[in-house]
Amino acid sequence: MTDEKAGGTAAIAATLAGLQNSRLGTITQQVTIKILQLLGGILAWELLVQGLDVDPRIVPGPAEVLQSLWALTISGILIGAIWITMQETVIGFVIGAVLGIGLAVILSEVPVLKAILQPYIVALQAVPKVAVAPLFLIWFGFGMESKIALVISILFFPVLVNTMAGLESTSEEQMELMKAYRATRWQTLLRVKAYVALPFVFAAFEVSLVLALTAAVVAELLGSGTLVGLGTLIKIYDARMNSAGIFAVLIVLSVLGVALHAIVVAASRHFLSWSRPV
Amino acid sequence: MNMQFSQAAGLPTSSKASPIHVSALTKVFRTRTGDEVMALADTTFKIAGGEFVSIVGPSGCGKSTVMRIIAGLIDASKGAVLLGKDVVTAPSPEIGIAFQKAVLLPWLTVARNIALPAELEGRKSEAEIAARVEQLLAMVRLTGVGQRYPGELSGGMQQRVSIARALMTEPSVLLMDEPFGALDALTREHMHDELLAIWEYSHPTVVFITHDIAEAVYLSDRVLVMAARPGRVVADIRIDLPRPRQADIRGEARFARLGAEIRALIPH
Ligand SMILES: Nc1ncnc2c1ncn2[C@@H]1O[C@H](COP(=O)(O)OP(=O)(O)OP(=O)(O)O)[C@@H](O)[C@H]1O
Ligand SMILES: [Mg+2]
Repeated sequence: MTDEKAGGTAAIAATLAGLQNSRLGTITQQVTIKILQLLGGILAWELLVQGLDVDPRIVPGPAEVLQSLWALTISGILIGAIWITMQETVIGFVIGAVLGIGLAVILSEVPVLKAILQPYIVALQAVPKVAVAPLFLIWFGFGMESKIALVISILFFPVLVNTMAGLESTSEEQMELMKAYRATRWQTLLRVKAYVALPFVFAAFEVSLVLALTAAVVAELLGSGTLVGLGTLIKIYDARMNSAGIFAVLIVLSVLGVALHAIVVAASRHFLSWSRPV
Repeated sequence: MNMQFSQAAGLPTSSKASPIHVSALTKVFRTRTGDEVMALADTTFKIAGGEFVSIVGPSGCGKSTVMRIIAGLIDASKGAVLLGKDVVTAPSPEIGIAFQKAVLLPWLTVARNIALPAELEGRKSEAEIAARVEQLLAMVRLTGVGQRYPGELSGGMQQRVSIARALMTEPSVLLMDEPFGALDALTREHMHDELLAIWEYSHPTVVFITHDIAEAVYLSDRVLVMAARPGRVVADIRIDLPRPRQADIRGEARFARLGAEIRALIPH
């Protein structure tokens, strides 16, 4: 009994040691490299600011920015702002993706409709969406709706166009196979076209999720009410000439952008595992 | 018995499977540059219900085109195909088809690829489908591979998966376009005997396209020889070797003679 236990413990210890040597070892190494990179960057930043004797109201040093970031965090303002901006981004992303994919499916299944709408799509796609943002403020007010509207409008077209291209990229052989086995239109859509389109859809997501975050911030910069998102924070600090605060928010935005991108990449790895050559 | 009688008479065994009547079939393709290619010109032949017929001929003579018209996948320019009593206008549920390329869906496991025709049809229960898939995997010597993805298989393995898929719904008409082209000699001979066992068991009507003359002789009741430009049938050779076929027949003089006769008829 005790022998067995001892054997088990030894085995676990051996496994752990093995992990440490292989996977854990490389992870530790990578983390160390990342930390050194970060510290190096901060050091270079500090040296540049001091060496060039830059006015801290124009380009603040890392100490001031970190201080600002700390103050924002403990006051709870930062979390609140992240929550607002992420809501706008994610809700806009989901609605835009659903609308884009939905319309792509309808248009690719009904060629007549596609022929009729194609010129409008091309024209609307060419409009710089940010230029429409003031209109969204007029239509939807200063609340979250106008921000979500801008996010949707930025995302919608890349998703629509990519999904349509994806749905049409089935091979003739695949379509012949489905025809030979008398698949219905619905079966062909769900069992072939959807999968063929998936890599295209994820490619659109990868590009447009970071754009969606940008759109939410831009919309906040253009006008916001009582809700304070990250863009609104920047505007407030701008009015106070507090560039350390602006830098702090920019750092947070960049971390959020990287995190969103990583989520899409992970999802696409998961759902497209079959398409990776082994 | 009935079977012995028909064998003695050298006739195809009677079967409930539909006969195929290809009647004055012409197919003209228009290429992207606007040229016309006559893939088939006034081609006529009959295949009795339950008969095993191979088609041989040089590359580009229209073998795949004939098969796709019989399958209802493309229209003829002129003429018609009768499957049983019906003119073929669209794919029929009687037909199982193995294409020249494997055409597997890379996002489905091997098992789901094989099950596809039955899943689309929606008549068999999940348990029935699973059991049939196992049976077919064993038949094509891929037991244990069911949960892998097509991208993880060799070309020959993929081709065997596509053959299993063609047999999924127990079709009474089997169309096969160079199904064993990517297989090594030993696997190929194993597949010959498996295919013949299926044929002896349920007597489907088989149209079997191949470039391998020995394969055509070993499997078939009749071999049709096609020529190109324009595509047409130029000879119809009856293979009166006894059934069930045994592997050692490949060494016999009459087997070699039939092969030589067909080889001489293929234009090159
Ligand atoms: N979709 C198409 N468009 C234009 N021409 C075609 C098309 N399909 C086939 N052809 C032409 O028709 C002719 C017959 O083609 P088919 O594929 O039936 O030949 P095959 O006998 O099966 O040849 P292989 O043994 O090489 O498979 C060829 O000349 C080919 O170029
Ligand atoms: Mg061919």
